[in-house]
Amino acid sequence: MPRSIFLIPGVGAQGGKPELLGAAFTAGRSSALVAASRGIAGDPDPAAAAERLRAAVWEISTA
Amino acid sequence: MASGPGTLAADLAAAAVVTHCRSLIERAGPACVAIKPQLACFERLGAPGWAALADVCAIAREAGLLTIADGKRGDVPVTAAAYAQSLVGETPTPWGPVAGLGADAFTANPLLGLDATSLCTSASPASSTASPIACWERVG
Repeated sequence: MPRSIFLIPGVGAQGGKPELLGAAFTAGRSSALVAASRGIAGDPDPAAAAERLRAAVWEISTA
Repeated sequence: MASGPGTLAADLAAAAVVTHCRSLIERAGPACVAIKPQLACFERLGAPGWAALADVCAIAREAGLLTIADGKRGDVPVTAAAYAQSLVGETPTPWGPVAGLGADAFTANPLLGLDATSLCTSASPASSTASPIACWERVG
């Protein structure tokens, strides 16, 4: 499914770590969508939590 | 507005849910590309919950975010198509088309096989400017 977008749940509160997701981005940064809910909504600072996750995923995904 | 036990509670809870989601979208939205509202969390509030879901999707669209309706839908093809109509398409009726939720995509449960998901992506009306995106989520 080279043109499919993989939805990747479980990051954050469910224990998934962004640094383990590199393989999901082998077709480019738009090939996967990382979902995080409680890790953002449950943080005292949701904006900072979301930005931390965004930066971490951006770091491990290929350009 | 319908009356009866729980109606006021549902209305108040639904309004609180919209407020919560609006706040999250405003704060976390700039770091995100999409929202993925969990449908059961809205549906359990009945009709006010579904209206709240529509409101949250509209707020997300205004913020420039995609919407993924997270309901893990899946059934035989004709019913799967109805799920697609309700979430990303529209339903033709003798009185004219009825718009669905207007989400950009929705999650489907693949455990019933490809039949259960193949029609999900072909049920978008021809007039729709956006095709639904198939989002595959590993289950189990």
